[in-house]
Amino acid sequence: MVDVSKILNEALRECNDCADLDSLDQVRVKYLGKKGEITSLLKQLGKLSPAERPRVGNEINTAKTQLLLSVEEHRKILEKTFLDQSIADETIDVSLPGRGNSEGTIHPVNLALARIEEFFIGLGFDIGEGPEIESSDYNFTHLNIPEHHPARAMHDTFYFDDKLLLRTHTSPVQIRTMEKNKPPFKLIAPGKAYRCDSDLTHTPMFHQVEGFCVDKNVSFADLRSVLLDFFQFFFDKELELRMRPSYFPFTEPSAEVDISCVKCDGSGCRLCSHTGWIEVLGCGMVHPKVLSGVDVDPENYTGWAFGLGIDRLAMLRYSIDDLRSFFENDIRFLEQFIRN
Amino acid sequence: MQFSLNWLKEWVDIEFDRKELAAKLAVAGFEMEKLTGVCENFSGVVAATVADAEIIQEYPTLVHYKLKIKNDQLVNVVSKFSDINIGTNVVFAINGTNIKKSIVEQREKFNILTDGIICTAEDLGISNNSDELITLDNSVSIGCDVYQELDLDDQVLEIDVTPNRGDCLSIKGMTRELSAVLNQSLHIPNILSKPVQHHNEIYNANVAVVDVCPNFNTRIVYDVNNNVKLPMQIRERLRRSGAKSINPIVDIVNYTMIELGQPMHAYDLEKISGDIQVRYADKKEKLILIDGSEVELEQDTLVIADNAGAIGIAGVMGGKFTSVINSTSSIVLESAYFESNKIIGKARRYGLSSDSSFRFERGVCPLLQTEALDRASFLIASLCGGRVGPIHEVSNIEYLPQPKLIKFRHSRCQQILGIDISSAIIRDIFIRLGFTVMENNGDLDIRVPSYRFDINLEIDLIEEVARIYGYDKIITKPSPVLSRRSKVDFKYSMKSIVRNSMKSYGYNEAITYSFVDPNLQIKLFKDIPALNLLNPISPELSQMRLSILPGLLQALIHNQNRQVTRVKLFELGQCFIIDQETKLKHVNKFASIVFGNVFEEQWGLAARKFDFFDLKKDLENVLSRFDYLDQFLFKPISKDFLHPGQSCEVIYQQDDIGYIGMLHPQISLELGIKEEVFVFELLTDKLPQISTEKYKNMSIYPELRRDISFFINKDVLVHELINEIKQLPCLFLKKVSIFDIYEDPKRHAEKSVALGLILRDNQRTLVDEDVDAYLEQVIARLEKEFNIELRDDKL
Repeated sequence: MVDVSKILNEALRECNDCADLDSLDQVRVKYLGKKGEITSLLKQLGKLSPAERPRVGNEINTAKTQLLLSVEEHRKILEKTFLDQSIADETIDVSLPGRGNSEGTIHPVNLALARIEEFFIGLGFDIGEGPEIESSDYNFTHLNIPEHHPARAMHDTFYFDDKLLLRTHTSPVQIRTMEKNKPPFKLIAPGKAYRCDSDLTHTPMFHQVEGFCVDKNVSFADLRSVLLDFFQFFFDKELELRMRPSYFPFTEPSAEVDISCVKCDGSGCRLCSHTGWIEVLGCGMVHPKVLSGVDVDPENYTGWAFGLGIDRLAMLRYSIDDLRSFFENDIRFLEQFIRN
Repeated sequence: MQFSLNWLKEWVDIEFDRKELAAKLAVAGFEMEKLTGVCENFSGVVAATVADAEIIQEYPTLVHYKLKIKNDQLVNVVSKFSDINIGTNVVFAINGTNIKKSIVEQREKFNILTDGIICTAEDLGISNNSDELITLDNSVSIGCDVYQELDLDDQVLEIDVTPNRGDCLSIKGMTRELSAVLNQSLHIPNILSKPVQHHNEIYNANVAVVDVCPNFNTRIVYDVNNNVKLPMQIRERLRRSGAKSINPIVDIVNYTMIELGQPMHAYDLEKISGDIQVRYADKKEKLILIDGSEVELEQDTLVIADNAGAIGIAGVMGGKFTSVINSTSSIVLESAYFESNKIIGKARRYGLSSDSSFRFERGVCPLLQTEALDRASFLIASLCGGRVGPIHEVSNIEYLPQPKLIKFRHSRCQQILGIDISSAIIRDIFIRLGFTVMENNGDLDIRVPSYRFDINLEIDLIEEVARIYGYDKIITKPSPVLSRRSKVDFKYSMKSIVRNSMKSYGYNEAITYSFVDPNLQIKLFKDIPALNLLNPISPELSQMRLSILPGLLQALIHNQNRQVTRVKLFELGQCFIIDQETKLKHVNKFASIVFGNVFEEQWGLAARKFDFFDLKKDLENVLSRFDYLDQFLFKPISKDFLHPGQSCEVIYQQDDIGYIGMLHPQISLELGIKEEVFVFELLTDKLPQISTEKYKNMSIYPELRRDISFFINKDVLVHELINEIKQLPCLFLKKVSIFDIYEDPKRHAEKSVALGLILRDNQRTLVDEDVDAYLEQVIARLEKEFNIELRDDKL
């Protein structure tokens, strides 16, 4: 009878010598496979005397178990070694930039608009819009600016013919909205407006938000509080608001609104021409004639309205100093507004 | 409006620094546009009188003057002014004086040692005219300080007066307003003395239009000397008010207008023939104006005329022929009230603008005419001499604006302003403003002064209360919270979805002008009519866009010219279409343009140019935000501005909602664009309202996949193939994926298409028999319809 322990020792040695999983498997097959050396020992048990069989059988089974354990153990070691090796091989330069395309950007005017909309939606305002090519009736007459009124001349209007023009402000949306619906009204209407004026501080096309609120018991004092809240929200800071009497034919009382300079907080700098104030919008109480013109009873309903220049707010918020860069669409300009 | 600050101070106390003054004006509704000194401060410049003059022989354009200064001391100067009479008072700056930021130095000229110079207006910094000699009034004392004498510590105050406040366009009006705003009393200087009357003659005037010219006052002044030099103070005040000097009579008329606010006109008596008439212009009546231009008048224009025709446009501008010139000796002065509605727009229509029309358009006080006429004739008589006649009044009081009486309700004021202002304060405000206040059963009746054309309604009175009370004292209440939610329409959500999607695909949002270059637009959209502006800012910005594409192309070219090699832009906005009935339609569009490299330059991806499918994927991604992608059809089209083989329209529910394709290479070539350009444009009004997604249960059974690949005629659209497959009834076809398209160079009329059919049943596990039969049907159908040839290599 062969020496079981000798075979086992030989097998264990071979097992430990294995440098990879394939040879380890070959060792397993060589000893423990169907025709493996230890397997065949078991098959030869029958040739032994009945007295010897249990002892030898036991010895072979022990050897088999021991070898199996060793193979398994060694397999784990080899697997670990190989994994460690391949992990080491797979090291990359993680400082390289990621693959693919970067985020795009939204135009700063529309970024500013989104903030404006966010604020007023929160206050329960609807959002509307109106046509950019308007009749002189909607742009002027219904807004209490009769033909030949000096205020018309101040608007530098682009005309198509006597009656048709590019709207000079977003205020016609007030009329269009009130004509079609019944009060109360709470609406903002953003959009483009046009004036034939082009210099450092004017582009022939610009963006405005018209806002108005018409209901019972809406007063001039409310307007002030809404605007103050709005500007503090928009600029993310505490600031002061000043209202100066002004003249718009479609509001009475009318006011120009200044905020304390967002750059110097009112101490005076180039941005605010050393006045400490920045003019940001025009507003007022909707003129009774405008209300009665759209069949809203001005004794019952009062309301305020404002017209806000979005481009100017965007310039202030993003520190853009040249208005014209908004409409040149230079990629190097546009791609800067990625974080917003 | 431009004011001399010292002139204003003569009427009302204004003792503020620049910032305070600006703030005081601002809260009263007047914007201080400018406050600038009349000139730089200087000292040591004195009045001198010319004692002797001698032309320098070697240089006959120069004159050697001896000037007498204080204590009869004589000084030598050399001047280019050759005609200064002996006895004239001039301005002398002695050597060492610092003017114009330099020092006057002694010169030796033609053996004359100069003691200083005779100053021009430019030397003193009060004008840019170096040919303007300053001559002082005879009354000045020789040797006095000129800076003081000429009131040169004055400042020019420019105030933006809103068009509703015509009453503030004069020294009188502005100080009246300031006295109310600053709560200070006026100290009106004594200017209201009447001229001594020398004769009784009047000039006949027939006013045919008493309803629009209810006050027409004239006065004859004989024998004036229109060659005198007006006193320095008047000349300087005119200059500081921005008025050009014409001749003494005209200057005095202008001076009076600036002082009191009444525009007037002076005619040369000898050039008027027959009675003066005030009437509407005759048909095609012509008039040559003071500025030399000829206008053909329209019949709604009010004119002043004589027997020979119009001699002026009422309230706007006088005619050249009857205008007062230096040689004029007798004049007719006119001071009238014209209703502003009849003057408004006329100057503009004839391309004119005048100080007169500026004031009449905004409203001139109807009670001012005789006062102003007296003031002007008094000044004329005392400065130009002449014999003054009586005022000839053609007055029809019933047509004058009637005094306005407006009811003011305290409750209404509170309703509008949102705060309660005590009636004592309100009363005080009205009285300060010159309004008359009367009690009327707890409310007030307010009588409005004749010069306040802007006060017509109760709301106007409320504004006055708010303005004088101070907007800043109308203090903050909590915001009104109406118990309603915002109604945000689809246009709003659509825009924000599109913007955010495009941003995430790496596009930059552009905003281009709504008016474009017609030459570019016609290149793209040959036969489509577009709207043209009558008064564009430039020819390149003169036509309303039909599409966003022209603007995006311009932006692309702008960037290409700046060495940008990769452009991905999009824009949303209104476009302007004229439909068959020539009606204007506003169409909302969304467009995108790409060119250059698909990827930013980077280490891990091979550089590649954009192609059709790069852009199409982004378009599909956006569309899939609105509806399932298979609801959108991409149908080949031919558009002039797109590549005929690489363009299609986008169809949604049988509607053409846009296009995508390569810009026609011919157009790229013409525009100098160096890479292939791909564009799409959608009509956003036709995008569907987004419906909320409904979750569908996932099948728990495994999927099977069958691939087929075949050759097919190149012209067959893959979309048609897939549609054909979907026509076959099959409950378990979930998806058809196209995993390869290949063109064998040897079979150029054909292409190889490889499709993967993804099959799954929701009720059970599919077995091979289920799908094999189906696959045979599919192949048979495709063979029949498209004559496909299966490729066995793949199966």
